[in-house]
Parts: sequence; structure tokens; C-alpha cells
Amino acid sequence: MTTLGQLVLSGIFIGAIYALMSIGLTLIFGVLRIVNFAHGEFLMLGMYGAWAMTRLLGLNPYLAMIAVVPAMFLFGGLVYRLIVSPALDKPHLVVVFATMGLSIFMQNAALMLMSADLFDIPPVFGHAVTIGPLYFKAELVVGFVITVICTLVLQWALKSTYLGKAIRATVQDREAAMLMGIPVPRIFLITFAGGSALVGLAACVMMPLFSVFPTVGLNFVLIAFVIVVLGGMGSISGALIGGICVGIVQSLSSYYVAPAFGQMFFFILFLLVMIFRPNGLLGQKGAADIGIAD
Amino acid sequence: MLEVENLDAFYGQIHVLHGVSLSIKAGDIVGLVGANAAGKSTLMYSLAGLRTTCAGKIRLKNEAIEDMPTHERVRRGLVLVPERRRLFPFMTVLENLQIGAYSDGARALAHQTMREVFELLPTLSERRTQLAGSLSGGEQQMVAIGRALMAKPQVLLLDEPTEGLAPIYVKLLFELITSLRALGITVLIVEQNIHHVLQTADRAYVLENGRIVLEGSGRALLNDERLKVAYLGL
Repeated sequence: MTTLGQLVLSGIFIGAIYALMSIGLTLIFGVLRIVNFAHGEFLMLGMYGAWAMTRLLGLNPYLAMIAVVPAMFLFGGLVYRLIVSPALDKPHLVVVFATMGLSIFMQNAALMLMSADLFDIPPVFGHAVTIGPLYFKAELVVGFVITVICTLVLQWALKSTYLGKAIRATVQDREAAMLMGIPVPRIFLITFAGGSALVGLAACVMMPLFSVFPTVGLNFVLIAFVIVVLGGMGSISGALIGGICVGIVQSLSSYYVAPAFGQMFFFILFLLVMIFRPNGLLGQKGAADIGIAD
Repeated sequence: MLEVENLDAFYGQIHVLHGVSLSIKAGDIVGLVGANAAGKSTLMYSLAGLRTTCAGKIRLKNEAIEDMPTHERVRRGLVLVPERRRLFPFMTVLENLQIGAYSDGARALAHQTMREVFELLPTLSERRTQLAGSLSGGEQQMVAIGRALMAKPQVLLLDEPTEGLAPIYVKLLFELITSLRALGITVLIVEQNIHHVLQTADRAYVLENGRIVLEGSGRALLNDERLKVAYLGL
């Protein structure tokens, strides 16, 4: 029983961190209706940033957020202006190939600058967190808490601020949003940059748990895609639930079956959801057309 | 208030409007009628700065706006209530109205405008927490007009506002349009309901195959034989 509790809770914690890494992807998809195939490389860039701040400047990786998050916001804004925005009014494949090209470019640039070596940072906390008889890496619990706070703040902002309402309006009817005086291209820019900043945040949370290398994004972006589709494309709370499902399945199957099969089992879960709830767990019918509905 | 001079508009490669000129005086209610596919909605979208590519001049209060993006035109007081209302279906009535006041000038006055809109359209106040998508067609049209009023329009463009509405709402809507005159809002309305619109409008234009073929006071056009020819093809 203790083992099961341990596994489920670790699954929830790691799953929430996966969700944090996926929220930017789902947000950008919901608003711009594009998939950023360089999402994993944005994560990689953020992780190198967090690594550099920690190793070179001696900062705590959680403090590195103060620099990495705004830097990723600017980077996202730049990518939007130079690559995404010019491709938006062209056929949909143009954006697909443009972001894929960016992904390959970033991987190779990282390989050139940083080599293929794995970099990591020393543990942030000296001891584990105990919940009753259960032990958890403190970094995992901190990541979970940050994710929950971040999701709540984001949901609140989308619901209650003028900018949040404008984003939701753009999702529901882009043209009507323009007719109400919303500068939609600006909303796109802010969303893309904001989504990138969220990946930066996820990178700082993940750096104490994982190593960074040029193709680290590939490992995680697959999980992110599964989570986004699982939770319902464009849904933020869906991403959180999707992430937690993936985390639990991965955690249980790694222990009870074999670590190598972890990925296989969450793809089985993914297929089951696709068969029985094709719009995702929290997705509405036609979520791909409507986007963030919650 | 709104001057259109020699406007040509294209939908992709299709040349829809040919040298359309209009002149709309402040405070007037102006009707735009014509058969299906005459280019009425194209003209409305061109004025709003959406969908079409245009050549020609559009001036709002003597300022050239033809090169401005849609949101800049809204900020200057030119607001379109599009065909089929286009509310934000997963937002409440209240949120739809708040979004209407997105432009900075309108936002500063949003609280007051909201009170005025609720006075003008009391049913909206009762429905404020309901999702817009759950309302009846007539109620949705009222929200759409309320939302546009939140933007503090000087010129309100209404594209087929009575389409698909119950007769009681058609009547209500024309009463509402008449009361907008008292607020000093200039109205350009595209309407299939030709009898209603020509009785309400101070002036009207008849559009045929992308060209203005007739213009005059609403009542005069109502009795004009040529209108029957242009509109009904008799």
C-alpha cells in the first residue's frame, strides 16, 4: 500500500511538471491554431539558461526563473515576429515546416555551442520531503507546487483580466474579436511570447530533476503532445489532468513492469482516450475549432 | 460623418464592388438594400477593414481610414455588428459586453456605458450571467448590438440584424434603431426586410451587382418603381 501511494504521488508530482511544460503548447495552439514544433527546443534553451545561471552565476535554479522566464518571453516574441507571423496567412504546412526547421536549427546550434554532453546541476535541497511514511525528492514537490500556483494564476488571468478576456474572445471568434477593437496580431504575439515564457518556467523547474543536452526537447515534446491531446487541445486544466494521468501511468508501469516500458503504457492510455473520448478528457466537441473553452 | 469615394473591393480575385460612393451625414439612419449577392456584406466588411482588399477612399470624420486595421477603425468609432451576430458563445453576456469596450477610450467609460446599455436593453441585465451561446436568436442580436454600443460607436454598421428573428424581435429591433438616433449614433443598416428599413431610414442606397444604382430618402424609394426592378427583378 505504501509503495502504491508512493508511486501514485510521485506520478502526480512529475505529471504536474510535465503539464507545466505543456501549458505553453496548448495555449499557443488554442489561440493561434498552430502547433509549435520547436516547443521542445524552447524547453532545451530554457534548461541551458537555468543551467548557466546556476553553474556560472551560482544562483539557485528557482531564482534563475527571474531571468529565464522574461528572456524566454522575449525569445518567443522574436520567434513570433521573424518566423511565425510571416507564415500565418500562408497555407498551414508553412508554419509546420517553419517551426520544424527552427527545431532542427536550434538542436544543431546547441550541439555546436554546448557539445553533445549532458549537463546537470547539484541538488538544490539536501533532504527529501516526507509525507507520512512516504519520501519524495524536494525538487519534485516544489515543481508540483509551482505548477499548481501557475495554473491557478493563469486560469484567473484568463477569466478576469481584460487581456485574458481578449485572449478567450480571440479563441472563440477571431474575426468578431477584431470587430470589437481587439488588436488580434498583438494578442498572438503576447500569447506566443507568454507560452514561451511558460516553457522557460518549466525549464527552471525541470533543471534540478533532469540533465540538459541538445536533443533533450525530443524526449519531452512527445510527452507534451500526448498531454495536450489527452487533456483536450487548448484546455489548460485539461493539460494539468492529462499531465497527471501520464505521470501516474509512467510511474506505475516503470515500477510494476519495467522502466523501459513507461512510455509504451502512456501511449496505450493515449490510444484508449482517443478511441473513447476523441476530444480529450476535458476537451469539448470540436475543441480544435474552439480552443480554450474553460 | 462617413464618406466613401469610388470604392472597389475584391474577395480574393473576385471583383465585387465597382466604384461605390456613399455619403452619410451625422445622426442619420441610412439603409442599404439590394438583392442577394449584390455586394452589401462586402461593402460592410470593407468599411470595417476585414476580409476584402480595397481601392478607393473611406473617410470617417474627415480622416482617411482606408489603410487602417480593423481595431483602429473601431477605436475611432466605426463599429460593425456582423451578419449572424458572431457573439463569443462560451462567454457570459456580461463578458461579451465587456469585450465590446476593449478599446482604451471605450474602456475608461465601460461602467457608465454598461448602465446605459442595460437601460436600453433591460433583458440583457437579466441574462448577464448566462452564456451567450445559450440565448435565443433575438436575445443574441440584442447582445450583439449591446456589445457594439459598448465600443462607443459614432457610426454603427448593422449587417442583416433581423435575419432569422421572430417578428416580435424585428419590431423591437427597429424601435431600438430609432432610439439610437436620440443617442446621436449614425447607423448604416443592411437589410432584407426592405419595407421596414425604408420606413425607418432617412436615406437609402440600392446596390445592384456591386454598383449603387439608386439613392434617395427612404420613403421616396419605397414608392419608386425602379426599386422594384432593381430589387425584385420585375
